Amino acid sequence: MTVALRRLLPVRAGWWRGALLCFACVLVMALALDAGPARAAAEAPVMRIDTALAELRPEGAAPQAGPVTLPHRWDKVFGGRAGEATYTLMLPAQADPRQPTALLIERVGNQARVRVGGVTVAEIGGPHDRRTDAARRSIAIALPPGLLRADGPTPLVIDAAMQALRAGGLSSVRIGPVAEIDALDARLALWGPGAAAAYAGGLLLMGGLALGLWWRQRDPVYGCFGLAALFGTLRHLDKVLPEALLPWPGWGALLAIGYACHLALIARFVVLVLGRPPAWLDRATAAVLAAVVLLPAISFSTLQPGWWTAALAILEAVGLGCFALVLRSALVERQAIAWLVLSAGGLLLLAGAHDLLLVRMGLFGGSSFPLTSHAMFLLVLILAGLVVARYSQTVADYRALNQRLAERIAERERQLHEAFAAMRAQQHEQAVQGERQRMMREIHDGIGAQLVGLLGMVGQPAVDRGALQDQVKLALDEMRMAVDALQPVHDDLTTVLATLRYRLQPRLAAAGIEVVWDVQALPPMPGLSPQAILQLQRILLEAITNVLKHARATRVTVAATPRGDNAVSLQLIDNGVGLPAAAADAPPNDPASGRGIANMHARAAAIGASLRVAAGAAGGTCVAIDWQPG
Amino acid sequence: MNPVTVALVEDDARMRERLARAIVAEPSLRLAHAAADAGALLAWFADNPVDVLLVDLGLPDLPGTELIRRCARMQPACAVMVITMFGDEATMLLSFEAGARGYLLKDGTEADLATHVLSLHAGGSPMTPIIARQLLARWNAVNAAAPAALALARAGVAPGREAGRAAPPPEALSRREAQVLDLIARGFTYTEIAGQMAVSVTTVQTHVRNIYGKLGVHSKTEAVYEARQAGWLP
Repeated sequence: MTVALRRLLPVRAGWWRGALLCFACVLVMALALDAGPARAAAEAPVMRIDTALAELRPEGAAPQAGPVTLPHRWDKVFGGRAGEATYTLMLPAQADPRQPTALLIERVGNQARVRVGGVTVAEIGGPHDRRTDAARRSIAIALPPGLLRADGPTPLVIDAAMQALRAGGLSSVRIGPVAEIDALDARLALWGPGAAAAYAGGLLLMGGLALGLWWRQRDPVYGCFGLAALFGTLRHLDKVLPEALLPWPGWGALLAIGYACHLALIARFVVLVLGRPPAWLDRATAAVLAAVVLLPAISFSTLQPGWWTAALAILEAVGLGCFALVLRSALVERQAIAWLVLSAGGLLLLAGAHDLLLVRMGLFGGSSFPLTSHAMFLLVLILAGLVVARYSQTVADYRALNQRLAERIAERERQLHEAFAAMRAQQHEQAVQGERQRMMREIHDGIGAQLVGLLGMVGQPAVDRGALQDQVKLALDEMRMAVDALQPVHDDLTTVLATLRYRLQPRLAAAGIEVVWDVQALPPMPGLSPQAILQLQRILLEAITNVLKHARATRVTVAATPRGDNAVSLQLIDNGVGLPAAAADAPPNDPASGRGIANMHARAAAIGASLRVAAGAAGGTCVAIDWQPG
Repeated sequence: MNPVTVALVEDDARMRERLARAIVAEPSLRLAHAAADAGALLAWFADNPVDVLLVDLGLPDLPGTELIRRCARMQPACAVMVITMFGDEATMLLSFEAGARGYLLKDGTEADLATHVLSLHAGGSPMTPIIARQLLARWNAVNAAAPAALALARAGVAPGREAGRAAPPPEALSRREAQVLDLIARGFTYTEIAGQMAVSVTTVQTHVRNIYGKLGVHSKTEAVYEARQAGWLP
């Protein structure tokens, strides 16, 4: 609970200072209001008449007659009964007939006809008009000159019709100069219907906004406050509307239920704001709500005021409970806002007590100025401040949450980037490592093997220089091929073949062998790896070396023809002496086929090519390779 | 006929001696200077015109391509040859762009070496199929990508640096030159190409030299462009 309240109170809460100021202003004005009528009464020219002769005719009871003291409360005498009354007051003699004089009736209920000296001067509501309530506002009546007698008292007769539970009766009546009376009437109107209109507007606005927030966010705090504010408008609207929307007592029941709900929801709001209420408190508030709806309904349907009074008493008790909750929070928290709510709540309780005891029950001399509505509006204002604070806190929380989320996402992104970079570095490392392994293997199998062979030859006692030179050239060829195989050829087998020729052409030319180059433009062949290129180059190099060494040829034809589906057919045909009969069609692994040809078969197998070494159609030898790379 | 004057720069002493020996052994060649690093060569090169300059790419004090670029500027008439172990595509393309006109493989015989120098001097630049293929691809890419860039270049608008290294468009290849490149890439010899195109071998060699020249122009355009960017030129 304490945490909740602290969360409600923003650190930068300049607003509560403003609210405090507002509160002080309203307090001063309320005091001024209370002093107002008293001061007016003290002024010499205005006289107050607070006795009358009354003839009371309650329905279903014996009529009474006799002097009464004003204000006279019908409900106090005939609670729950309708009826009629005739009040007769004696207006004092007028010393100066030219002096414009007026009457002020603060309150008369519920429909009334006013006569002075037998002349009707005002009539509010017909005999059976149950929608009009003359008590809604004060009545100022300017008297025509000459109506008041100069030599003696003039009778003022007020015929009133009362409805049950409608707070009928008559207040004291004032008489005085028109200007004074008008000023007094204006002041009463300001604090009556004027304030009611302002409160109704304010409550509607606050309720609408809070319900809008609730609609968006479904936070019960907003919903509770919005409903409370809307229920609160009803009572003020009653003072502003020219006549009731329903006939009495239905209208009375509606007003009472609205008011009770207003109070109960305000209490619930305070409980909600203080934190997540325990289950029993939830149940208790629900019970209170049900009770305060039910009791006035019973009261107005049975026309027994006790039920409604009981509902108000329950609400007062609930208010006291809330007051205690807030007090505890204020004492534990020492928060200025809690004190502010407490003060407004205290004021409301006082006003409530004032209205219950003085206005409604007429105890302690009674009063006709209900204060609850003013104090309530003040409290509602402060509570609206709480709603605003809660909303801004929520927004701030969301912003902070967004910020945190954005930071976390950024952090996660950074980690991902790092992980990705690490992974890429690792992959790169692996690729490089794999390539190194491959190159090492190539060096080992290729130039390494050649050099070992060379070493063996050098170690022999009688070294054939020509053979040595051939071996060295082979080693160099192997190295160049390895380098060529590493060059980017972009899946272009034509360039691979062309490069091989480019390397070997000088040697073939030197050996007097003409090259017939019948290589067609081959389509790109995806999947042409350096390994495969190197193997193919080795096969062709072996074949050409054989031509150079053994074939005694004068011409070699190199043909490359694309076959469908990414395949190629290569042919190397010489016009030499041809293969020894045994080697030609021997199985690849037969030693008779010669080591060179066995190697060529092994390499062809390694890249998935099919190799045939056969006698050429016109003599010589034909090496044919059918290959589908990738 | 005067012997062809040759200078060389090579930091490996044994290789340098071997090259020197091969040049000296050939009567039609005359070794004018053998330097061990770029600094020494540049100092000498400024005052001594030669016909052929052999440049090793792995010099300790200057990248080989930069040395070639400077030498080509100092003596445009001198044919620069790169001495390389492998003749691989990346190195060779950079060298040709810098202004080289041929290359020598380090593992060739001494007789090969003299032949190549003389051949180069006579106007015969070698070109491997891989390089021919690469050049074709590069020119095709430029032609396909940038008629707009060409138009801009013709209008005298310097293309933005953001357009990348290929931004200054190379001078377009002629149809015959593209044909020569294509045939080289497919493995035909200059003689065969001459036969197929019904021209002389000399003409094919001229086409190849012109193609290298356009590469050089390309790199020169780039150099001018970069110099403008750096504020050295108006």
